[in-house]
This record gives sequence, C-alpha cells and structure tokens, in this order.
Amino acid sequence: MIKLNNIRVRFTAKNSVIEAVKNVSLAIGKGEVYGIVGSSGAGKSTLLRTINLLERPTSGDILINDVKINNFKAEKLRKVRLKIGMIFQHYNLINTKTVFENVAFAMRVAGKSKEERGKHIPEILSLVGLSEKTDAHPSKLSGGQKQRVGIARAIANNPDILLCDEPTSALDLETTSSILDLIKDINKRMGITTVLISHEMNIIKKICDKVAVMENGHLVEYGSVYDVFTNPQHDITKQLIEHTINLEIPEELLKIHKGKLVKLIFKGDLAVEPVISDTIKKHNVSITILHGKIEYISGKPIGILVIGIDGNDINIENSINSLTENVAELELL
Amino acid sequence: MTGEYLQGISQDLLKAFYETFQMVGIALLTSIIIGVPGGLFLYVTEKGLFFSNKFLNVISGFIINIIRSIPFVILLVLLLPLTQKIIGTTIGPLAASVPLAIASTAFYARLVWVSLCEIDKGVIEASISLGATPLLIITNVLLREALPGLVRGLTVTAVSLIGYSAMAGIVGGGGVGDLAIRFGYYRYETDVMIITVFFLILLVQLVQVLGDYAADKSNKK
Repeated sequence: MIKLNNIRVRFTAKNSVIEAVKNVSLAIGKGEVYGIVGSSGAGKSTLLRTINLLERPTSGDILINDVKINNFKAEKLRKVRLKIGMIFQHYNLINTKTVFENVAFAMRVAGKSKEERGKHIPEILSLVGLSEKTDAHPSKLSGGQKQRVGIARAIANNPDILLCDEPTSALDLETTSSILDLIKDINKRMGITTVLISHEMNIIKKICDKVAVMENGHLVEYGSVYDVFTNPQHDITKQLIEHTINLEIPEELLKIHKGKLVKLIFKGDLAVEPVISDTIKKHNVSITILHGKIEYISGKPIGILVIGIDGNDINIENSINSLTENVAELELL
Repeated sequence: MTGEYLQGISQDLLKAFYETFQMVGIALLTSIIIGVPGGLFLYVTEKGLFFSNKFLNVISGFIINIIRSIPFVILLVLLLPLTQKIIGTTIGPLAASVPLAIASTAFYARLVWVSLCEIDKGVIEASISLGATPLLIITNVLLREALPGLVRGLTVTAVSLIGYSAMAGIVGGGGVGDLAIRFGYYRYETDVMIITVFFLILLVQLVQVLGDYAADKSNKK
C-alpha cells in the first residue's frame, strides 16, 4: 500500500544541514494500523509528512499503490492527497467555520455537490459522535471534540490512507482512549490504512498492529507490536517500553529481602502458576512474589513477575536454572 | 456672529464633508480592490507558502515600503504627472484621490499581510493536505480566517485617510481637514477651526465605532 524507499530529508538551516530522516525504508500493508514511535526530534513527524508530500524527501521514493508519487505536482498531487486524510496534534480546524462547514470544505475540495455534502456530512458526524455539534464553531468544542472534527474532515472523502500526527498528545488520558478507539473503529469499518506517530508506546500498544521505532532520523527497529514489545532489540526501544511496562520495586523492599531477586517474563500462553509451584516443590526453595503484571498486546499476553527465591545456594542455583528453561526470559536483579 | 455667517459655514462644511467622503471613498475602494490582492500576494509568495517566490516577494515588499516611506505631501507632488494623465487635471478632490488611493493601498496591503500572518500555519497545512487548490485556500481559509483583521485594518486605513485628506488642500482637493487649515489656520478664524475639528473628531469616532461593529460581526469564532 505505502512503500517508502531510502527516504532522506535534509533541512538547510543557517550554515548547517540537518538530516531529519536518514535513509529510511518502510512498507505498510493495506488496512494495517502502523505506528511510528520515537522521542521528540527523532524524525518521525517528518517521515510521516513525506507520505502526502507535505514534506518533499531530499532523496528516495514514495510509492502509493505501487505508483511513485514523489515528483507529483499541482493537480496530480492534489488527486493523490484526496485519497490521503490527515489529522494533527493541534487539530488545525478552520476556526471561522462551523463543524459542518469544516467537513463541507473537505468535500468541496473533492468537488462534491451541495446535495452530496448535505447527505454525507450528517452520516460522518454521527460516525464520529458529533451530531449535536453540527453548527458549533471549534472554539466552543473540547479538545477531544475538535479532534473528532479533524477525523471527520480527514475521512470525508473516503480516503485509502489516514495519517495521524500525534493525534492525542494534547488530550487527557480518557479522551485519548476514546479518540484511539474511534481511529481503530474507522480503520476496521472502512479498511483504511492508518499510519500513526506518537512518542508514547502506550498508544502504539493500544491500537497498532505494527510499529517502527525511530531514533535520530534512523529507523532502528520494526515489526509486529507484540514482537517489538516482548523482544526489543534496540536500547531506545527498551527505554520506550520501560515507560509503559513499569515494574519498580521499592528500595526498602530490595534492602530487607533475603535471597535472590529474579525477574521473569512470560509470553503467549505460558502458564505462570505451575512453573512457580513446580520449582518450589522440586528444589526445596521458598518463593515470594514481589511484583507482577500481565499486559495484553494485540490480544496476546505478556506477563512479568518479580520474585524472591530463598533457600540454600545450590537449591537457588538449581531453581534458577529450571526457571530459565520454562520462561521466555529471566533476569537477575 | 450673524445667522448668515453661520449658514455660510454650514454650507462650507457640507461641501467639505462631501469632498472628504469622495476622496476617502475612492481611496478606500481602491485599497480594497488592489490592497487585498496585494497583501495576499505578499503573503503567499513568502517562504514555505504555496506560491513561494523570494524574488517576487522581496520586490513587492519593497514597492509597498517605498510608497509607505514617502511623506504624503511629497507623494502628492511626485504623482502630479500621473494624476494629470489619469484624471486630466491636477486640481480638485478627484485629482487628490489619486495619491490618496496609492498611499492608502500600500498601507492597507501591509495591514492585510499582517492579518494573514496571524493565521495558524497548521490550518493552511491541513487544507493543503486535503488537496485544496490555492484558490480555494485563499477564498475559504485565508480571507475567511483573516476577515476580522481585514475589517479592523480597513478602519485604521479610513481614519488615516481622513487625516491625509487634509493635505489634499494643496492641490485644491478640499475636504473637512482642508477647511480647518484654510479658515482656521490661514485666516485666523479660530471658531471655524474649532467647529470643523469638532466634526472631524465626530467623523473619526463614527468610523471607528462602525469599524469595530463590523469587525465584531465578521468574527465568527
């Protein structure tokens, strides 16, 4: 659906050249929700904006449905953009137009008649849950409602692709969740290929199928969200994930605890309980569960457990060995 | 003061107001017709916008600034040959309208540019991402979002024009300001000067109140 081949974007600032995107290649399949994550300044926003050529790449190709678009201009480019909706962190609504008029503007751009607009817009507004705000101006809406208008405008012309530029970064947790649900819902309902960028793994985890991680303009890692979460390769990925799967044990507990502290990670269907009780029986050790969490990513579980193992040294050693065989990952703390 | 005298003044005043309206009206109309596209041109040729063109942008900005930096009295005289060509005479309110129109158009074009600069670039970007043509963006986004600013700018221009038009007396343009200068200043008829200045204040206030009202009405946020 979307193919980015060796994309580089360079900016020339005063006396210096900044390369925001460095040789990035990425393939996004039809109907996928693809997340691009990275800290601020990683180049993810610039990369996203090359897809609809708001930013022209310095080199590299952008293919949409196998058509190379990076040299498109004027009318040809506008035709392509009609099929690519985009939503923004700060909504970017036309303040002097009502909710209805904002969506109507998008449809006018596509050359839709007044009748078509009058028929289609109420449908879209009800889809995004804004039927009652049809005639309100953006200044009278909350952040979440504004983003819903942004979404309505972006999908008004039935695009094939939806680009989301940090769509929830200015919203509170609850609103974020409802906006993400809406994006996912639209993705499923319309089969619209969605590319979403965020600096938060939590958001990626919630709605994305696949994720690419960026750092300093490089694409450092990509894959299915579950794989990247359960088996992060790169330091920046590990850091980003740590913010979401946060298992901190209070210092006091670490001090008073005798024996070995071990962090176990379970993936997929591995059952937790038998492993622990088996170890206790087999190796004659006592095990205390200090902390634990099960996350569901793309519907699959990943469990993290911090346990303390106490007993004589050989038994502890043996139990750690047998645990290693039975869990996905084991880390001595 | 006799009744005849007062009647004389009121007739002079009436004529002066008519001339002021004529000059200011022509200049304002020109400002809207040429100043708005001028300000738009200055804006859309800026870096990062859809008709980005450094050369044209610098040139147009330069022309606007030259006109704005020439003192109006000098502009009035400088433009005499042009006025002669356009109007066929260099005397009278119609002739005075030519330099007034040129000065106020440049002034208003800059104000139009200022209001356009206030627009959130993100809104323009969103419109571009929708696939909108430049024409649609100009009519539906730029002019619409900037409308209150454009109205306020026009009010400021109108008030300045009333002031400028006083100098039109040099080419026999007449008008309220000129009346104040001729009778009050040159002929030491202080009472006439006070009366005309009083009416000028009233006129400016009226323009400002109307302008504020229109700006409020046009602000649909």
